[in-house]
Amino acid sequence: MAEPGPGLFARWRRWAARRLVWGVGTVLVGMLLGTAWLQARLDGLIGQAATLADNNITWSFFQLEAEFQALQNALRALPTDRPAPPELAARVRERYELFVSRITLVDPQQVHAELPGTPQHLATLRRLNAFVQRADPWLSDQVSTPLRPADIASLQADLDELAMPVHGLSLMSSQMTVRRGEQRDRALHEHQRTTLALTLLQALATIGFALLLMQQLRAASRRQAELAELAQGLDTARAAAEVANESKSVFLANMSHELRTPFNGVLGMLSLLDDSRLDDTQRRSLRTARESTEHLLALLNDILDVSRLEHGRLSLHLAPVDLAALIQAVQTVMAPAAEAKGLALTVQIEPGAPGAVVVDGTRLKQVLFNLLSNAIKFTDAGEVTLRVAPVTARPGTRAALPGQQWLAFQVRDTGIGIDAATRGHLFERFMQADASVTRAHGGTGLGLEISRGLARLMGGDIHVDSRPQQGSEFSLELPLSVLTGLPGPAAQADLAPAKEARHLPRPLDVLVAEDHSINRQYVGTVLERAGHKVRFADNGAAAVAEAERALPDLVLMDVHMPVMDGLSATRALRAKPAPLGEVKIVAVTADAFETTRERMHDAGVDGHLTKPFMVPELEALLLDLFGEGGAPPPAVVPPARTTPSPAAEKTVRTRSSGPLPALDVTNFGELCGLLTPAGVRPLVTSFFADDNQIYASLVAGLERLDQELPALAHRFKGAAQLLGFQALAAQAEAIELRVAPWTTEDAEAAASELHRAWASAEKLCRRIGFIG
Amino acid sequence: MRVCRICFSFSVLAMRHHLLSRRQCLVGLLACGAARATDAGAAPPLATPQSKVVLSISGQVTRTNAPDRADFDLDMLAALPQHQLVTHTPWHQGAQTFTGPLLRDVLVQAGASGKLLVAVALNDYRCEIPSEDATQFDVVLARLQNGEPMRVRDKGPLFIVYPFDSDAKLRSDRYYARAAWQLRNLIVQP
Repeated sequence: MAEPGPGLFARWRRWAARRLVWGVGTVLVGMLLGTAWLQARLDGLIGQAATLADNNITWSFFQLEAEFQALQNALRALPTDRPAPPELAARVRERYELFVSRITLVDPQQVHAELPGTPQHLATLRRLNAFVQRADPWLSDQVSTPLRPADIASLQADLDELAMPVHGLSLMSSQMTVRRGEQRDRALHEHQRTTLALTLLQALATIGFALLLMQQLRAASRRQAELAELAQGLDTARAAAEVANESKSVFLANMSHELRTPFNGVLGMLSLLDDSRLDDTQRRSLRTARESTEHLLALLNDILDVSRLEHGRLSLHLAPVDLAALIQAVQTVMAPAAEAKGLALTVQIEPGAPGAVVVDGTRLKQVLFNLLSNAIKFTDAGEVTLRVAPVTARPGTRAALPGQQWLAFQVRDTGIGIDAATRGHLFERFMQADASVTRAHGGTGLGLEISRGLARLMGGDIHVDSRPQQGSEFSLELPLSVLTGLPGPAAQADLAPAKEARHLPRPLDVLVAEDHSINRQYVGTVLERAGHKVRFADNGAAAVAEAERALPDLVLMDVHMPVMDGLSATRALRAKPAPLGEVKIVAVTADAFETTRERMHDAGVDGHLTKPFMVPELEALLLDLFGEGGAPPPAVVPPARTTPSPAAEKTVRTRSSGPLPALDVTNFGELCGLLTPAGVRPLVTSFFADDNQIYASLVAGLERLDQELPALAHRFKGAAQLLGFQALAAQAEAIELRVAPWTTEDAEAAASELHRAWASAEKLCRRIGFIG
Repeated sequence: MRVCRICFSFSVLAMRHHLLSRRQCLVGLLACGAARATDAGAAPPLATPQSKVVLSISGQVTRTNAPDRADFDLDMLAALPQHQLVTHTPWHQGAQTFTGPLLRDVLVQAGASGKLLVAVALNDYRCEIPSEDATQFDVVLARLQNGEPMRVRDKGPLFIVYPFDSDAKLRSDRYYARAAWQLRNLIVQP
């Protein structure tokens, strides 16, 4: 009501414009129809059916006069003193007949044409017909009376009297033709003028129409421009909002990342505390503190995942994965939780499921852990099953690509179930089935959101089917590439740029935390030859104690160690006050699992080496950490997410190069070059010594089908690889990575294979003089 | 017996392309041979007119019964297949029934071959008729109007009538001018 004037006016203008368009359009159509009608009439004027045109009528009158004169001439040619000879008479009669035939052609009653029909015309016709009646007895071709001069003269006199009227008819017809022509011309002119007027009107209407259209178009484009401006404003606003949201997420991600380091410290300290003498109350408090911290850390990790998912920063690391092993691992982790609640946890892989697929195993496990822990959490009695089965693509999802298969990982429970209303927003952030449930069962409320985000990132989704009080089924469905053969060689990892220009400012004090004596000797020798000072610790706790005693420049931290592992030791060190808390730590690990490295990274290590590492790798790392001059070091130890780890690459290369030598000469030669043969000899000797614990325990493990078999094989593999006993290392790796359950026969076969490789390596070393 | 080259080549072609059977071709060749034989013998193929000659066809004609022309009396024309044509004309009131042989049949009788016909009437009216008119339309050489012979005064004795009612194209001055009445001569020109 504030401004009624312009609104009303605008509405009126629109109404008027619409009216105008309709009006002009109607006029235009009307005029087009009028023109068409005129043209049709004109056409009708020109073409008339079976009638003679004016010029033909004139021709008829002139022909009549011509035949009239021809007859006169023929009669004059007859002899005047005697009857006409027969052939002359016949010719006269033919002329007469022709003349008679011409009379009918100017008779309006006989001919279908517009003849003048004036009184003069009709009178002459009557006189002509009278003459014919009189002449027929003599001149008709039906009679043959002799033509006598007297009769001829009488007829000639009659004809002479008719001469003027017949000529008059000719004149009349020609005048009539002229008059008719004039009439037609006038009519044509009139039509022409009408047509012209109509055309002019049409042109004006068209111009009007065009102007109107132009105005409408201009108005439309003006409106469009306004809309575009509005849209742009909205766009800017949205972009601003997005930037704000983005920076919030970045902040969140950074914060959670930063927060994890101190948490690792707390956890490390708690582990150390756990090792000390405590009474029961203290131990309970310690456990509660530890659980709370772990829960907080999990929450942080979830938040980090959510923010990464939200911004597409979470990338998948696809690798060949043994499906059965992965499921086995999941079961192993989840079994204790299920057992604690008295639930049966069964795992079932359907026969149609592939053996190996390409997937980000870590992320797949993460989703499965989440689904299974939910199922266990919300089930008080009964069972939880994980079933892996091939399925067909759901409608609306994409079909599997060639070489791919849709697989369903179905987690079913017999728990409290979820009603339909809750199912609708089950995957929303911090959404849990019900607030009371949250209190009873705990959890961060981010798990399902992350799980669904990951599933969708992998090209699939999670579907829920549930009935309250009867249980739920969460089905993770993914299109996965199926592997039929061995994985191909991984892409060559980019080698670090040359670092000749940089150097170490001084010899370093290095603490080597390593439980394996051969490895210890190797690393020690390498570092000492480079001029560094080396100290040793054979477990994590010892390493922490040694570092506390005298601060080293660098700790080389093996991950797998007895008493206290590398992870805990790192956390413990990081928990100390500076400078010890900030000591450089480099993780040393032999497994290709990225999770281990990620965990170490999260615990706060400065770098990472994969066993068995060679001298250049170690030197490069030391330069990165302590180097001076030259190019600035790259960001310290990226989690190496996009490139395959050197160990994985090495393993693959070894696998694909056919039959393996008992001794890798290059590797062995390099070792000798480094340590001198005299230095290598004791390593080899102790490796083959009768009291070699690792070999003995691996063989014993095979005999007993020990649970620790992979760990034993892993340790043995490290030493074999270091010395270049490739066949032995491959055997150990086969044992380490074996997924299928062991049978006694298999174990025996593996043990004998291992022994054969062991014996041939020993024989070889004895022959070249490295033993004895 | 001599067969003209054109007939021979046509027969061979027709036979090769199975347009005509071998027998049909042979019969055609025989007919051609016979025609040439009569040419050579100069025996008139046409009957001689027994009454007054009403039509003479001259010019490019091959079958003649008078020096360089084919003459017809009304009986000869009546002996040809007759065609009845009901049509309006500009010169009559109402539809008229015309009877007579087709112009093309009469031309065949005279062995006429040419692109143009010049029609000459008793009153020396002349007009040109393209030969294809005779094949394209059923042009009648009328000798009866409404069942009666036509007198000279009624545009007789012969009247070239086009089927005006059957084709709008024919209802124009061009074709009206070709409808010659009181026809006496046809001159066949190349």
